[in-house]
Amino acid sequence: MNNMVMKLKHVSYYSISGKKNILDNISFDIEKGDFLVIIGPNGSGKSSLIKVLSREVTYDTGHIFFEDRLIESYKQKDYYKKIMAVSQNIRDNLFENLTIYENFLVYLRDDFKSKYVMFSDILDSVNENLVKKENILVKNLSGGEKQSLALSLVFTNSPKILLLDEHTSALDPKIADRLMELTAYMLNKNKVTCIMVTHNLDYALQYSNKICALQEGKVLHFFNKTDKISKKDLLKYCF
Amino acid sequence: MIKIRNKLLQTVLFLMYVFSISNGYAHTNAFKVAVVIPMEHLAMNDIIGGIKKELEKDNNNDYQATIYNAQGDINLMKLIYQQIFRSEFDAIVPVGTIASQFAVKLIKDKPIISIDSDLKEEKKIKNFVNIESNNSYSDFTNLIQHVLSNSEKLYIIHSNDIKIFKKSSVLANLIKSKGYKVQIITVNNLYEVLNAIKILSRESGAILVLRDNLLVSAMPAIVREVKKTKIKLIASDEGSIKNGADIAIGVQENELGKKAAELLIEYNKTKTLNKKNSKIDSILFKNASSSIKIDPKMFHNKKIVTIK
Amino acid sequence: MKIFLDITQQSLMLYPLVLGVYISYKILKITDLTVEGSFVLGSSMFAKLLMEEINPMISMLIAVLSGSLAGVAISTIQKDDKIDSLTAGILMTFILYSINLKIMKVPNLQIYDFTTVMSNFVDFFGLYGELLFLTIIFFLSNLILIILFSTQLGLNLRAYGDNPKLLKKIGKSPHQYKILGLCISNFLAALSGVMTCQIYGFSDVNMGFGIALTAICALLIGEKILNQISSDSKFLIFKDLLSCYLGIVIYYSTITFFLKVGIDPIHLKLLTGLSLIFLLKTIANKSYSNE
Repeated sequence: MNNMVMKLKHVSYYSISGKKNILDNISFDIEKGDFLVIIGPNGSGKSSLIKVLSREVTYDTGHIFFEDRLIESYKQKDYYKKIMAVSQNIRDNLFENLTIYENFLVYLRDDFKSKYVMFSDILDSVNENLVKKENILVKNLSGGEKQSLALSLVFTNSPKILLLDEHTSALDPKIADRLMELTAYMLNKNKVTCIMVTHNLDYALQYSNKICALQEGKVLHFFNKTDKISKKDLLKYCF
Repeated sequence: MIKIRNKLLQTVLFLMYVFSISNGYAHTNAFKVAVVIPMEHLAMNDIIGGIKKELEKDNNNDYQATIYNAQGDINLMKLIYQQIFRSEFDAIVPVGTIASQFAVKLIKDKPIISIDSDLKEEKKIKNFVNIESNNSYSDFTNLIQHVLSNSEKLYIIHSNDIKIFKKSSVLANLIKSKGYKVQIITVNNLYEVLNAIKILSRESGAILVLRDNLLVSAMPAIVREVKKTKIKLIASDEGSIKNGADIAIGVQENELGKKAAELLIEYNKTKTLNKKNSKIDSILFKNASSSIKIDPKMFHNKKIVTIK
Repeated sequence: MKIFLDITQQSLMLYPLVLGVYISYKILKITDLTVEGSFVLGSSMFAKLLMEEINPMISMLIAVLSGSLAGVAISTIQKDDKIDSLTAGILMTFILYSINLKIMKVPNLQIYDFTTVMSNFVDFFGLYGELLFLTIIFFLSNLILIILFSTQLGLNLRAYGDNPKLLKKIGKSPHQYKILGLCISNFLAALSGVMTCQIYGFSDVNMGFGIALTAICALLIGEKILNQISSDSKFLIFKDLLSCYLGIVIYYSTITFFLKVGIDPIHLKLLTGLSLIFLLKTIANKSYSNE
């Protein structure tokens, strides 16, 4: 049984002028259930990698496979059912002028008979109060409620892979921690593979089972959990 | 408290302003006439002047003429007609095709004396008569032959007024059949008019402007541009000559108004509309400073007026 | 009183157009001025077909459908987001001006002598036939929107207006919703055009002049007034429909009032503008004091 969910083979992505390689000959594999964290200094290509994987931009050379097919071969609606991206501003994942329940309905891709039950289930695991507030406009929620809501909604269609691009970086440390916990909990509960970009090395060590360090678009190091790296090591080798 | 007082004060001042610029009510036994014009310019004012002056001549009766200017907005004209209907006028004088179309559709039982409209089957509509000039196309072809040499081209510039549109087509074909080259240029606004003239600046020949509201209202600007070229400007109304065009065949605008007023006075007396008396003979207007020479014999019996 | 009937007639005539602009401006959050062209497209297509002796009902149908074609065209122009909606709308209005002229072959077509759907109503029901026809169209337009916004489709349209990028991320094509929304919007504009043509008795290529602004004004007035009652609450289509209707009624009431007291039409536009600013400012201040 092939456990490979995603494969990158010699992927490069050039800048507009063609002079610089934003991503340079990147190759690695992601297995089902992995929690891969991507770290690296600014400008190393972390965000671009997420953008390439989420098909927001098109890479130039190499191949990226998702479930044994090139990612370009998927129709947009099929690809985005399986791959969900969350950007730095988690509120970009919400429709602020719709109610909570309406947000859920828009996210929902297939028609289910008992939509409301599904809605309660998904939100319950994150924040029980949200279900009661189903008719409140999202923009009237508190910041924390918005984050939990956005996080729960991304799991609506049971994606296979979640792409997180520094989704906690704009938050206060305490709130960031809580959101990170929630993220890990949801990933585990829904059995979703995750690729996360972060500056926070503690998170990298705490939650991931694989760490990919980028520098100037290239893969500098690729660590597994079994390598038993410490934060000092990461700082030393990757920055 | 202060906020409410301020708001109230503002409202009161506003209403005072509104009433100060309103015409107010006039409860009279006068014969009330509504004159609806599509837009305002010198020629329109001449028409209105003609109406008012002639109405004053009837000493036996009182007349009240209210002028409604639609400012080029068809939808506003509709609202104006709704108001006219509510105000119970005794007669309507619409100027131009669109004003007349509205009048015929919306005002059923009052006399409609339109000026310069293109309404077809006007004979079928009972209380409707259209006043226009007696221009025959041959007058224009005669004039063109006077003004243009064979090698020169005639440019007919016109807007999207239906009457002018049709006239231009017919005229163009007639003039072409006389062996001249004709080009029709359609414009939608003043900018396009001036642009068209600029493009023609190196040509020679003549530009013909019919009784077209858009162009007549912009005549001073048009004359200014044309004077920079070697092109002659032929118009269809007296006002344009006053503004500097070379030559025109048309009627004096106030004659149109005068005729309308005559019909109104007659209607007031007899309660019937005289449909036979609605055409006005055209006049050849010449600008004294123009270089065009006119042979009066070519224009048999036409009155010639020179304007300085 | 006649004045109320006049205001009602005018408001009902333009109501579908206001709904159309509501969809593009408020729901999709696109500034689409194409409606000026589609409005005249509806009326010119209708007039021309009538001239060709096509059945009035069928002429109406074809005319309003041609409006939705204009909607497809405008969304295609904006497809890759290389041209912004405002520019595209203005371009489209230019193009439609020429198309309308081509359809009618002349700048003005009179349908006074032809049987129209409205004239049939008048023949059958007498004086109030016109109002009855307008009211039927009013209810039909409302019905279309009520049905639309009670479905997932309507929800997705609203989602598009709120966050089109997110819609793409979820895997729904934002472009498809844009096409649908603009189709319906211009369909409604053409419907208003067809009604106007029947009431006016003619179709003129310059009829659309200033109509988009009228519709947007009406929208803003209605929205401001109804927000006084309940703002920041869940989407209710009935409330929005009411606000559209209120807006256009107040707009025409203002102008009619000024005409009635005898204001020279020359001052009319200035006054209407001032009144609307005054009205909007007064209400806006109130909402601040409520907070």
